[in-house]
Amino acid sequence: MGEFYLNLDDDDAFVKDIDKRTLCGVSLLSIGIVVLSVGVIYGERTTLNVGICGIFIGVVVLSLSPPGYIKEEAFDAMVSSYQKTLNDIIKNLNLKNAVYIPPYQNLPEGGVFLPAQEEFDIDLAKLDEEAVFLTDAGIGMVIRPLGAKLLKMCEKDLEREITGLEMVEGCTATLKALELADSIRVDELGNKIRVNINVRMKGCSDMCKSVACPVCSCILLSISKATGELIAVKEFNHEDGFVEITVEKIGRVEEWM
Amino acid sequence: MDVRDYIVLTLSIWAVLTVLLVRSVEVYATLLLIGLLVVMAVASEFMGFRSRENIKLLLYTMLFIFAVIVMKRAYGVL
Repeated sequence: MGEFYLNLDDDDAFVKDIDKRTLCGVSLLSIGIVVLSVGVIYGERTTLNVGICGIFIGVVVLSLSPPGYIKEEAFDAMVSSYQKTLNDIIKNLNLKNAVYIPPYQNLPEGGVFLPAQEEFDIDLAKLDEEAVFLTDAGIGMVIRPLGAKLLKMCEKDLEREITGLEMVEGCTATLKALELADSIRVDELGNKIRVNINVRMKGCSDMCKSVACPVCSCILLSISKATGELIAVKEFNHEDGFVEITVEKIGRVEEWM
Repeated sequence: MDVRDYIVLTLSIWAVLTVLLVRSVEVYATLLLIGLLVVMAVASEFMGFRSRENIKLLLYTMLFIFAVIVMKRAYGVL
């Protein structure tokens, strides 16, 4: 199995890995400073350059110290059982394709509504972050988007919030750096939007049409956020890591209140 | 190896190669700056926010050194 890493915020569990890089960087920096000093004392240009070289590489190594990583096997072992449990719940409740809700006052991270029927109604004014099973505001289930945190990472890398469809493809850089996806293409076809994703993550399956894997969820949530509208998943095709999702814009948040 | 490793490797090869070819400290510092600028232009979007900010700090320092070199040369000509 190839080396596949997921970036985590919690640095404490991976202190050993970070220490190796820090140690390497600090050693290069120290050696560089010593050689530079020797070069200055003896007036040797080549020694000066070697000292600068050591300092330069040391600073680069320290600057590019990555946050914690876990291996693909560990990630699969941890996440797959959660995903399977959630999928079983969805199958048992016979819930339909997901509807992505963009972030708004009641759901600051956005949400995923899984309706019990194809023809559904939902009152977004009655939703809050605590609500999961709905009987009053609509019939179905509301869950947090699994890709919400990933979307925040994308926005942090883009150094701005996603406000337009053209920015969704900008998430590619972050997902590529995390080795989760290779490419994203978004095409707007009137009221529908077609997304093509080359996913590298194993958790992506046909169940993404209801409970999407973090990568698909991140992209679909970003589309919902970019358009400011609720989007309903209409078609989902998955083959050898290539995913094609067609979603339909079904109105702004205010229209569903 | 991830993107960060490739960046470190590229810059290290560039720094070592130029140290072997150049004797002047000023030219060497300028070549390091050029290498860093090229790498930033090509790979900055794959670095991640924190790493990019750190590298930018190094870049500004090297630009300051470059400005000092240019001023020194200009003063020498005048």
